[in-house]
Amino acid sequence: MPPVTIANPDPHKVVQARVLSVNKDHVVLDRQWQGTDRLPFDFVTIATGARHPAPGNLPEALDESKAAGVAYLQRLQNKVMGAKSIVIIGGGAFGVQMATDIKDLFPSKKVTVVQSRPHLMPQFDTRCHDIVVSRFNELGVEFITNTRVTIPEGGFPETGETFDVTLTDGRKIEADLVIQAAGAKPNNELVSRAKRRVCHHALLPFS
Amino acid sequence: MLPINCGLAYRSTWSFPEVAQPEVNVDTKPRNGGHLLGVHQEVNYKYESDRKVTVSSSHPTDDTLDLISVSTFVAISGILHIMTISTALKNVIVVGGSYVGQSAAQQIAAILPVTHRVLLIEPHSHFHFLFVFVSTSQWSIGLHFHSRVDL
Repeated sequence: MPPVTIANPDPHKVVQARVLSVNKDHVVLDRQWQGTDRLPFDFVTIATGARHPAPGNLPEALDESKAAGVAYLQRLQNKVMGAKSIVIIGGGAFGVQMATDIKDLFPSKKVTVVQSRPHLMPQFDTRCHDIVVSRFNELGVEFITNTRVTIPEGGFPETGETFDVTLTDGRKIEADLVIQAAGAKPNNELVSRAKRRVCHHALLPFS
Repeated sequence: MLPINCGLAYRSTWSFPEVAQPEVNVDTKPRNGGHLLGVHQEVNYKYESDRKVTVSSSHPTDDTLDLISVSTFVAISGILHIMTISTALKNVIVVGGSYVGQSAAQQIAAILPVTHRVLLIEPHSHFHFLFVFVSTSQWSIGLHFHSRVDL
């Protein structure tokens, strides 16, 4: 038999839409795509990841508008520029990145990372902690481990005034800006809403 | 400080025009060693022969069906079969076009038979690279005020 010609060599597509629900053999979209909002499937992979509190992810209301997202990050830049003492909650990859970036660019600002666990970037090998600590020391980033921040009702002020950040061990840090870099939550709404039988067809890379 | 991300290390066949994809020297051959066509053919032939067996054996006791109509049926079903393959692709859907979704979509696409396609569903027009977004926003003010280019 002659070789079969592939009619469309690149049939795969990126669909810009939000999936509202995953059903037994189709997903429902929040908008039309090629004349339908229902896409049938033989197999589905749910890879919706996690949601981080702002600024890790943009606030949900701004999430899908690029211009609003840029404006949000610019406001954050202005807050960082105006601040003298910044507390970063969370010593994971994002908190560490944020702290070193700020201290690298603005050596005169006081930057403190508060980490709830014994090590920084605890999802990696402890040698990673050592590397981060040595870089923190070079730059002058302060860090506190094994301690959590007590978040006041209504959150921290964002007006630029100076206030005390209270830690669970009773210590206080004077700050005028707090950036949250902890508290990611899995986006598992699709799975929790899906009917049980869907699970036979679903592959969850990070369940 | 950026974690090496497998999703970006593969050849990107997706159109995320806003993303500055890092240039990484990777083997750009499909993961099955470049014999994508071979895989497709194999699947096709198997499917075709299965189909013929099904068609001829589903009517052997039907006395009203003469030889011509059987062969016509087989021919038409063959045409339909080819049309099915070229037009009605079955979907393998990946929900979420971030690190894991992109990587999954590319790896699945590399091994799918021609009967299937990958649909990667992602609400954003752009790739939200968690670290770069905030990082570059810090860098941009830093560059502006310090004129430092030591990235």
